[in-house]
Amino acid sequence: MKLMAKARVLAAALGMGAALQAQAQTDLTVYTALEADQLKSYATAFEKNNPDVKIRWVRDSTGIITARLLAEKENPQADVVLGLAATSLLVLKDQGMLQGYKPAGVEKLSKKFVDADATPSWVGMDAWVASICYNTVEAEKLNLPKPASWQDLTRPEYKGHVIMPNPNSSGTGFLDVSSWLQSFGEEQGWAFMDKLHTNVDRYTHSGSKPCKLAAAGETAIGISFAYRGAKLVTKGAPIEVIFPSEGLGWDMEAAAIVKGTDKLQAAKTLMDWTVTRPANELYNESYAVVAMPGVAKPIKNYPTDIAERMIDNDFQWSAVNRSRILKEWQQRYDSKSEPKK
Amino acid sequence: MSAAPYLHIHQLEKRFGDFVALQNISLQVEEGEFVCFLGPSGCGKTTLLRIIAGLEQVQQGRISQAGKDITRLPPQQRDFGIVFQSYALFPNLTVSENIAYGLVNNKLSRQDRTVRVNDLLEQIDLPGIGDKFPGQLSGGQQQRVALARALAIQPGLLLLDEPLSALDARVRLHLRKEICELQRSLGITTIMVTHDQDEALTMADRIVVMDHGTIAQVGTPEEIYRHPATAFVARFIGSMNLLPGRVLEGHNLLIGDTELALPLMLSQNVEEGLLGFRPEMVRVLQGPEEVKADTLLLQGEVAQVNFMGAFVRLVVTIARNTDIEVDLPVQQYSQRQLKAGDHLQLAIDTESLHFYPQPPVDEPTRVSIRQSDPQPQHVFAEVMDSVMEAQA
Amino acid sequence: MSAIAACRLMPVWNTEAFVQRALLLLGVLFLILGLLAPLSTMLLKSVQDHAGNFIGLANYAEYFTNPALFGSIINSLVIACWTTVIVVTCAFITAYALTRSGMAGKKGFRLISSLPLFAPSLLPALSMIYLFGNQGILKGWLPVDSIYGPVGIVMGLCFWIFPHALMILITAMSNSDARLYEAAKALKTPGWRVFLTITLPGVRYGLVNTIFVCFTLAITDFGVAKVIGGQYNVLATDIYKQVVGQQNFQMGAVVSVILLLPAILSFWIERRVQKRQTAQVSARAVAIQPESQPLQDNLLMLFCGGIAAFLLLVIGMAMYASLISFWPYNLTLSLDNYQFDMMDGGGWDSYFNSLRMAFWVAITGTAVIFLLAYLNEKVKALPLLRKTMQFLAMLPMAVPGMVLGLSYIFFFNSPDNPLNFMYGTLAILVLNTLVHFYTVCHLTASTSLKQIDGEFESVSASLKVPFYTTFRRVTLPLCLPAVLDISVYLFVNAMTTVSAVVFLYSADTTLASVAVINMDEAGDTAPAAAMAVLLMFTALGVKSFHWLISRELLARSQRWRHA
Repeated sequence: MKLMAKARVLAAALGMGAALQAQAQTDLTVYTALEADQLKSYATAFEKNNPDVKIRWVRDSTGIITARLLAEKENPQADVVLGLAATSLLVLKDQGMLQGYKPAGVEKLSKKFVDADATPSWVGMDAWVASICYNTVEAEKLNLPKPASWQDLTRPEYKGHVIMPNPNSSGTGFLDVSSWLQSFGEEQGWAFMDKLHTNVDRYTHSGSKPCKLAAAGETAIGISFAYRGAKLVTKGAPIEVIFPSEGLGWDMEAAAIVKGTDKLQAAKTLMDWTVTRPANELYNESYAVVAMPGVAKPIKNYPTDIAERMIDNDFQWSAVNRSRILKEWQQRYDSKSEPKK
Repeated sequence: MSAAPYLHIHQLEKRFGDFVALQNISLQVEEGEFVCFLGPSGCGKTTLLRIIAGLEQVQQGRISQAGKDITRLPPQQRDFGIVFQSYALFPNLTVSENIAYGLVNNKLSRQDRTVRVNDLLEQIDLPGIGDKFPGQLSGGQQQRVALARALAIQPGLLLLDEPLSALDARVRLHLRKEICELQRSLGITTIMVTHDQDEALTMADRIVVMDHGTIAQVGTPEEIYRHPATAFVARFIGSMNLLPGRVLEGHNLLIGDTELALPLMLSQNVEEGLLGFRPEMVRVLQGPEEVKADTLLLQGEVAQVNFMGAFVRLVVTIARNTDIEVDLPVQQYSQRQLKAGDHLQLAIDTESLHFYPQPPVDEPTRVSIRQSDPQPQHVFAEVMDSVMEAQA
Repeated sequence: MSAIAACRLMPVWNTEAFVQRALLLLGVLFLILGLLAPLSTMLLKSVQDHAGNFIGLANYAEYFTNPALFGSIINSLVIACWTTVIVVTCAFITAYALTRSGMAGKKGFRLISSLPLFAPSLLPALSMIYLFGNQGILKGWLPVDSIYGPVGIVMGLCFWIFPHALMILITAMSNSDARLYEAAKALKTPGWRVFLTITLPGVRYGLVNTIFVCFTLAITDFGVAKVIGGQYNVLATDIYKQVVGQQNFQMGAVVSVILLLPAILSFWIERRVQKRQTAQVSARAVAIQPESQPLQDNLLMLFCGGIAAFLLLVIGMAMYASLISFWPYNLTLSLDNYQFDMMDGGGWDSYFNSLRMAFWVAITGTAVIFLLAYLNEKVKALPLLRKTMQFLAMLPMAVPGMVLGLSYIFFFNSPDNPLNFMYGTLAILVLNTLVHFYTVCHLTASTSLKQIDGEFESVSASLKVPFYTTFRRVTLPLCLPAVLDISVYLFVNAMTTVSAVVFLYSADTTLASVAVINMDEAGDTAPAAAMAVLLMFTALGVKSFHWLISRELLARSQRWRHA
């Protein structure tokens, strides 16, 4: 990947464009919201078996990638979307932007990870779950007890010590909000967020950032997702990943072909790969729950019973209500400068 | 005059938006002639030069050069060399490179070019400065280099736009002579724009006096000086007493409260006009003296005596509120020992008298009528200013 | 008469004039396509719904009824006003010290105070986090609860805008006439009165100019507010949020139009002031030779020392933080944060992309801008076209980067646009950046062209030398210093700009400055600081290189200057 990139830079520097390179292979433009540190291993694994297809990643946070795809609706730049929140893919599907395709071997996946249509528009890869990153060092300095539940976060002593992602841009942020609304009920959910809002120091653009900020001591508590927390613990950050007792909101990372791609064959090849066992094993390095049953092994710094803690997520509901929820959220919380409600 | 003129300008008109810069300009210049366009700034002389060069477009009229209509030709396709007031030497090129600038497309060999450049440097009397940059030269030297550059391509017509006005007086005098000599020896048809009457009078074969975008008079320096066609020309070139007067019966003119019997026929359908005569054409009579019959005689009292070096300028009051200037050779002044308050008898010959009929409103009356101006030579400048203001 | 009339209708074919006019026309077309058309598309989008139907001012109505959005206008104004007041005050005193006092170490102060010009505006913001953030080394000094908000934005902007203000004020103050001060001294005028009646009026145009430049830079900046704004929304971050966070392009367009208003207003006022400024100092003015006044000099030195210390602290902190393994728990030094390939934002590729883009912007931008300024200055015909050109060349100064970037999405990503192929390429980034920084370059080029004798072209024509030869042999060499200045200005800005390009990069064309944003967004503050530091040093390196090159080049090609 890096070599490729260097070659591209060189080629482009020489001739301003890599078009003249011998084209035995297809360059596949893949939009993704995967974490930057996952991209390399995914591409390597795929390209090892499919040397004639090269992946060009376009990586950004969930909100941005969704925005880009919608913006480019008339003139799609992406061939495949891979590792994007299922709720976002559902929005794209509603807009008629996805190309249905049934990957070879898709039947081996658990049903809830595959679009219910006869020719699925999208195929799930793994699930990522909400969690709390809790900085033990800072918490001790500030005398903050360890929260055990979402509701704990609304307690007054946490005021100004909680950071969470903005659901408008972050997939994690959105799954938090949608899961609270689903598990607490709409009215209770908003009431909970109203109270939480008074404790929130700020809303970040990305879902990783609250956990990274907690790891750096900028905040004591960051609402984020399990993978990021586990990674940072491994890196030596003084944080503990907490799985709140009410249950964990989650979203699926999924893949789909963008309608109108002129590289359909290569796109299908990639889709076929996403449902394979090796791919699922790769997902499992970061996520405890993956699409293919029986693959998942427990991973470091993750609880083993994570699948049981996940709430019963209704993606359809989330997708249909996505813009309403976001609008409501923005009205209520998007400006900390407004008097707090 | 049998051959067609070298440069023929016919009925030119030039407007900038609503402003008419040139109107009804017709002029013929013979081959080898040195013509000066003379006039105050804003009179259109530079515009006319730029039109001849093709640097400005005209709305109407035709220009032909050497029998060829050049009215619509861009400058590149015309045949002229030009020197600007600013010299416009390329500061980053050496003197040689500047002079050779136009030679590059003449397909001359490098060697021929060098020879030609050195010839030109000889001609402008500056051998051996070829490797210097313009910034290292004096103003006069730069001007000569600019001249050499214009002449390098051997143009049929040389255009000089106020070439000397940025130089100091001594250098200017020297260069006048040098340009004239060069022009005569090359025999190149030359047009020079200037606002300096001395320059025009000493250098030109013919002078074109311009005023408000029109040609006021064309003639040799002597013709222009001795017989200015209009009050404007009279005032612009040399000094001229111009006395506003009202025409009475016969030869009589009422100036101020004094009636003068003129030795001229005045047209009877004119009511007002200016009587003009040059200060040096006034004779101071020595007591009772024989005068020719057709001489204008004036009585006056010396108001001021101004020593001017070569001559003495007297301001003489000849009527209430009416002063005239009289120039007296120093020698004569010394003999007479004139002083303010002296009474004088003055005489002016008919051929030195001019009468310019015109409606009085157009004339600034302060031309000759002054209360107590201590320095009369400033009046000329004042008039110049008012003329310029009127044109600005 | 009819012959004359006919003659008028038949101009002789003149290739040179035709080429010049055609180039000028192309230039205007270029600016229409690169600036006017995208902006118009954006205006259009602001009165359309998602489906592209015309809905009048409904989007605007929605905007003004949404307190969260509406509040950003107030926030932006508050930020811009505070920043302007602080920066102009500090810059005024510093400029005074540098031009009018006998203070020692002026050269050093000037050098230090120019450093922020080479940093992306993100750098001070990131540095603020390490200085005053919750784990900041100077957290205790902060008078407010949190650096994430208006205080942080204002501090970051002050750092970044200060050198811009200082440059204008130094120029204004150097242009004063010493004779006025001598006259005042002869009249025994007290110092404060001299200041009020001579110093202040003498620089008033420069001062007004500075105020508007500061205000415009502050209200349109995106980087600082993005990094350290926390929940304090301003217009520039709102555009970003609307577009990338909510896919609400129409609302993004609305906010853009609103952001365009103060920028255009201040631009307009500044132009008017500029027009009246002509010839306030006569050609015979005598330059001021500052005298030393020990008490005043020491006070000023103390002040400048404080400013310099702040600037160096901010830069130094960013550098230091970028070398820390894991802030604040593991303070060992390492280069881990420079392993950009493990982070968001495109890794080292993005850095090389930035270099490439800056290179192309500098090359094509200098060529295009200088050539068009030349034609605009030298072609005498087509006054209307030249007026249009002049207006279009001045306009980019009033268009905030965010607005320009968003306009480009609208314009170039439309499938109906034949220029659509540019979308997602390096070319669109080059074009966008070129247009974004057009005005200053155009003014630099025009000023230097105006100083050249206007008759050179006439002389060449009379010598039958085509205009392009004179352009090559005379005009270009004479303007070489300006040309070099333009190219380095473009390069440095292309390296550090973020606002316009944040909407336009693609997978192959990620940029370093955008990577800083992305890394910060992902919480990788230290690598973000590392990239920002890298950008600053690259820009500084290029500037030093430019300095050496131009010294060498000028010494060789400009011998005549010292002749």
